[in-house]
Amino acid sequence: MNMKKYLLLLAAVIPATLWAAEPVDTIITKTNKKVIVTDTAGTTKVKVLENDGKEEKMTFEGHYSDQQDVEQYFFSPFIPNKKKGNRYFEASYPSVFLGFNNLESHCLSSMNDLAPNVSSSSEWGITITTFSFPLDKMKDFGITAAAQIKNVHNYFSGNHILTTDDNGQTYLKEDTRDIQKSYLSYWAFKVPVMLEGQRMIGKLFMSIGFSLELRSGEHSRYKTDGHKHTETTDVNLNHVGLNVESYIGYDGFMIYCNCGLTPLLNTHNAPKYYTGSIGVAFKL
Amino acid sequence: MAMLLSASTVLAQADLQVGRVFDLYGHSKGCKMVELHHSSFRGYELDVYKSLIYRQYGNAIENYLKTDRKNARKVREIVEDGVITSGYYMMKQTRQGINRYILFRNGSGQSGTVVYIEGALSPDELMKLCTVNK
Repeated sequence: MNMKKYLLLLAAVIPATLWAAEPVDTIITKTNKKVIVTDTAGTTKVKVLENDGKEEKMTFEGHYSDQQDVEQYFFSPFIPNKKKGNRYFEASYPSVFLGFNNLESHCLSSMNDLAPNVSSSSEWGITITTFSFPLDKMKDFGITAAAQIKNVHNYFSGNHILTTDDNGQTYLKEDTRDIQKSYLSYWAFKVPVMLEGQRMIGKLFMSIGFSLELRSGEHSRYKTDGHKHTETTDVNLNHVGLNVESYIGYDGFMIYCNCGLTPLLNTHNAPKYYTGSIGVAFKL
Repeated sequence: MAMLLSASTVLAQADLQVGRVFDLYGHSKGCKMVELHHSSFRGYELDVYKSLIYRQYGNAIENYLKTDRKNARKVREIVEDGVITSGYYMMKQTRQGINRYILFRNGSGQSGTVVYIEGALSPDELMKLCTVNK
């Protein structure tokens, strides 16, 4: 704000007769600013109050006389944009995320041999902790990392059940019974490392990077006649996986997607399948 | 002639309390004083530049500055949480066209910085001098 211009404008607006009158307070209101002028015993006092929508704060006070003029600023016009330079770069990982998790024949493909029920395959997770390291002085770009836990359910359609035979071979068998639902579930501890850009347009942010997954707790389960059964806990799961992932968001809301770069199952003893997910996430 | 000129510029702050600040604390422990005469600083020609960075004596120095404030022509101050944290005083001229400024910044505890500048630069130019490259 150019205070000098503002005060010149003020001087032009106030009639000269007003200055010559008896000591009187003049209040000028302009948008969110209130200017109070007091003329007492040859000393003119000007106060500027600004309302930020919550409360009224004095931002300027000036005293003018023949001998001295005093200007007090209740913010700093002398130090330009200091806070902007010192702002904090915080990683934008979600507190909670929820999305679809599909099994695919290869990354970014929807074709597969497992015939999974895409609409029912899901994942959810939480972020435990985040790390961030700004790369530029304005702190708009940075490297971020996080520790996340997620749970994945990949449902299969029809009467398909993922099973492993006595020879250790995992495959999708078609059961003769009426299978109400059949799914592969597992837990994963995920560590994404991303390049993130912030504040490109307002609170918009976006990020791209890789994530390492440590998977465990795998089960192939199905439900028939109202009873849940565990088919196997050995599906030749690859316990370590690498994904490429990205997210874009505004403020506390974001959309994310990722796809596996390494197969979900051990391809020596199981079909070659990759994971792919898309979902929404919230930062609380 | 040069000696006479130097003497006149040194004496130019004799009527100010800030001169006593430099005399009293310029060589004290924990203080750092810089004094330049007829120098160019960030493109501006200055007749006198004196600065003092201090880690203590803040209260005592503040009292001297208050006295100079009463006699200043212009006072510009930054107030944070009701406390004056920095600013400058433009003092009366002793030589035609040569302005005299006292700049100060109060740090944490008793620390701070006080600067005395004498030169032809205007208040606007002083602000440019203070804000450039920040």
